Amino acid sequence: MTPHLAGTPVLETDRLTLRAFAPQDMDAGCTFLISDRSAYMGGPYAPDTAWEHCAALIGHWAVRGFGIFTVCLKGTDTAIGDVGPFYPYGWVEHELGWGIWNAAHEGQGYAQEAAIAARSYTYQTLGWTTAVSYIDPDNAPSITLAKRLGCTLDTSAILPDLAGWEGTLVYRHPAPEGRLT
Amino acid sequence: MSLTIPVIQTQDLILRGYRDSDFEAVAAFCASPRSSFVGGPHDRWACWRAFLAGAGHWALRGYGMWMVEHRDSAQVAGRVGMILNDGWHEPELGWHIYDTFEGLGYAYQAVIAARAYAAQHQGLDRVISYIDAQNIRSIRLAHRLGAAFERDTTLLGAPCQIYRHPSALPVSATPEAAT
Repeated sequence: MTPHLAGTPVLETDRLTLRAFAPQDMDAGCTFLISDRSAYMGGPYAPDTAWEHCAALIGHWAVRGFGIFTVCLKGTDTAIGDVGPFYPYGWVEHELGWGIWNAAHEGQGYAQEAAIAARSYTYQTLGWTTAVSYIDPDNAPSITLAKRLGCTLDTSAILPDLAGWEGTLVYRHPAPEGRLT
Repeated sequence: MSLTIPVIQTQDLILRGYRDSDFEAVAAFCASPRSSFVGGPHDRWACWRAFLAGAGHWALRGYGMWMVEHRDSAQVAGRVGMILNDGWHEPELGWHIYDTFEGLGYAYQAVIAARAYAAQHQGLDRVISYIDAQNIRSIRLAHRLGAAFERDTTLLGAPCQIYRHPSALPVSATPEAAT
């Protein structure tokens, strides 16, 4: 029997289904990571690195107990992007990330819809009390989305100590309702 | 949630799945010159990716590298198992043994267990190992394991050698019985 990741959550929104990143997402995920569309998240990557990155998304769930959700249009199992809680070793804080993998699905509010559902999950189920999104200063669409999500620029936040991260913006998400951070 | 990775016990070792607390030992190896024969040294970010990809590999391929735990000390002693990353020619039997656990026969013990499991439960027999031609210790171990040099090749653009292991199926097992 093939080992598989069991017991991961599924989130539903009006138009989307969010489920754990899975083997059937490898081709679409790698295609995104080797393309210029991944430029704001360290890409484009070489094919072997892209494969490793996607394999690590599955491993994140296995080892951390939470991870990136694949975003599918409701009623399909076809990935259009990813969203969710991310906490690599070396990260200073828990991050909420998002990406829409091809231009055809941009501009329709999918990333926002997915990010709201993922943020609620991290606050209500994982018990996070705050979250940040790290955004390249040239990534205007993501900055716009962060603001729509109620995030504010946090110039006092500490960045992960990684090469090439100088100048990265930290947008802090609003605290869970009823909590002060 | 869980990722079901089989557990194997040997005389001195436990081959098991990945835990959050294993990362520091893996990162120390990744950052050290000892990893130069397996594509390193890597920074912490690349090491994080490789560590978690090692866990994800099991979900993708149905097999992968185990974490090797030293039973007496409960310390992580290395990793061993089957690898088929993007760019690999065929599934490879790989081994990494960390600093303080070298020279004690643990690599041999771990590889024998992993190789037998791969042959009997994962359908992977007469497997290869990629070895850097300068990695004298690994070549010596390959010979002790009964593996033989097959050919020179490149892996992800870097030159290396392919060693081929003998069958690890029980002598009495027929190919039909093994499947």
